[in-house]
Amino acid sequence: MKKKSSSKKIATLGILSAQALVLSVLESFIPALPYLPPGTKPGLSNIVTMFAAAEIGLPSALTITFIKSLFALITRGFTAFCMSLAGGVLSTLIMWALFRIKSRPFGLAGIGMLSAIGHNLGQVLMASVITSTTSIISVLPFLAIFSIITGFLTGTILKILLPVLNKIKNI
Amino acid sequence: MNKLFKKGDFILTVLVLIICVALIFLPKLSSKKLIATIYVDGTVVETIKLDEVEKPYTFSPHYNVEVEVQKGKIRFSKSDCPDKLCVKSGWLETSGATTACLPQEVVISVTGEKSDFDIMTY
Amino acid sequence: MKYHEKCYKIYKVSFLNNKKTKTKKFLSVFAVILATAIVVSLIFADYISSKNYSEKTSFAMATISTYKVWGDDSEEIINQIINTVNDVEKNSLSKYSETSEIYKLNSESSAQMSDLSISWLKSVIDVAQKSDGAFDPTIGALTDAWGIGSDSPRVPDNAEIKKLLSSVDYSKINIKENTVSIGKSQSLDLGAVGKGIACDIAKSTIEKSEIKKAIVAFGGSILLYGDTFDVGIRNPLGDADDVLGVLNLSEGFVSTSGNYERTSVIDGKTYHHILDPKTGCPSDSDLLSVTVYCDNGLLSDALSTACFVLGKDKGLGLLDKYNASGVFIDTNKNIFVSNELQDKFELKDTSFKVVE
Repeated sequence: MKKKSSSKKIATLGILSAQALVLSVLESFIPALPYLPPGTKPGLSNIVTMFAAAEIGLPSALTITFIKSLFALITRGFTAFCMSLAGGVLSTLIMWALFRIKSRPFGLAGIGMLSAIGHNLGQVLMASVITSTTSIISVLPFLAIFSIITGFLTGTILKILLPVLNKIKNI
Repeated sequence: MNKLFKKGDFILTVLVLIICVALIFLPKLSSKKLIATIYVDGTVVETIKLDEVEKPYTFSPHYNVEVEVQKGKIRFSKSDCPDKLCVKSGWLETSGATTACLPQEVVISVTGEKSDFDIMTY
Repeated sequence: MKYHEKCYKIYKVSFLNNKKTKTKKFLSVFAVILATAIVVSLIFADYISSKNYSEKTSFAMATISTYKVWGDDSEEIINQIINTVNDVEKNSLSKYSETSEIYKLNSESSAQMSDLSISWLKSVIDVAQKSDGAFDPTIGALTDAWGIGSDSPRVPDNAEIKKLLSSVDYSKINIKENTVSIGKSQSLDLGAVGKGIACDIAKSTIEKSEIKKAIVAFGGSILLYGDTFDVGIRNPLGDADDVLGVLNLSEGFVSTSGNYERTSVIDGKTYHHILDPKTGCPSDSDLLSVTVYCDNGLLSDALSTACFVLGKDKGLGLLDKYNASGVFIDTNKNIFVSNELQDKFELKDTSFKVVE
């Protein structure tokens, strides 16, 4: 792999983060779905994070995650910041770990699904901490079923967009 | 770079589905009596037997938050939080339904009480 | 190559080229579809099974009525029961509705009554006879004079009680075919067994339908239909949802009379609403409550009232005559359970004692 200058690295991360944010904003227009907590989204911005976790590295992926959370802090407040960070960090860690397994038992769809479930788990755990109750955990099964679909979606779109993202990476 | 689908995905999907469906339906098997528990900052402040509610009413378990109770259901009716996600959750009327107003740290959780009896005589 | 053409090429390459990938892809997609189908059908099944059961709480026969009905059309049956009971209340049993048979009987001392009403009347007179007057449907005027449980309860003086007692006499009820006549000063009240009658009506409505299993309750009078159920007995010294014990009962009727149902405090003393037809005052048989189980709604209601007035020993004797059974709870927190119910009764509140 070519050693990139740090300014190029920053530029790369910048573009990727911007893409993640745009996807987040677009997603925010989706209305609340039945049976699911309001604010549940397909997690399209994870396409970017997943790419970073797979092709660039953990620090970069976590940076993108953190920038997403900062955006949430600015636009939606401190609670949203905590929720986004908790879900994002757990999700990113899971993605990165799965990509590191040499035998690669799961394809992109599976990794997408597991990272989506991880995201939900992180958020639910954070919500438990904020409200100091455990009853909120009961929404997890519903979220997990939804994650199957969104993970599949994320993985598929990533596969399709790979050449584009690779181009950005190879600036 | 990576394949989209592998054998592991298939097994994983089925596994996750089975576990989730089980987790959802297991609590529903018990009897229908619904109890709403309201927590503020981790402490139970109210327990309401939803089936026994006659007239609808509202109350405020915590400043800036209003809860509305009707027969068999409960919801956040007003909140001063910025995104009002709690209010948008709507009515909670089934066992396992839970919603929260995170900034205010108020949680409403509905559970089905397993009764000792089917009906009471008095 | 244009951007979208590039994308499509990659899509083609990854999805459509390799036969092995194709099979795996097909399998995975199939798995997801299958799993989704399973989930959807489970949710659908849950929805369907909940369609086969209806629960409703309403107001009928001057009390809260609860319906738990299993089967298709359960909702319709519940509405049918409510309508029929309301009709009967208005046209037969009501003391105030001018279209009511009882109203006509009380205002003119004589009236034509339907076959159904006559059968109810005969049952009630039978209980009056067998209980030696402990239950008397002609006690209405006296009950009204006390007004226990109403807005204006009072303690009538001895002279008034004596005067009203003279018209309390079930033997003066005369039934000739469909004409019923009572004494000029008498007042007949079938409302005392109204809840039991409502349960009987519920049963006959359900029998004409396809419903196989149901629980219908009017106040504390309950119809158990089609299955064995657990019936909680209210702790007479506790709150409305305090369970003293549970009876496991098969099809039948349950009614309870208690000193907590309707009370008034007059000059610091608490009076309950079940009058003793012999004394004209609230009965004082040392019982807190009696629960009766038998095969008829009206009877369960009448018997529970009669037993409450009679006390444990005479009450058990009365129940025998009807092949009924009961649970008697006295003021010392002792519980007496009929032989037939002993292995069906489970005590929940150990501050009470089951006595042999």
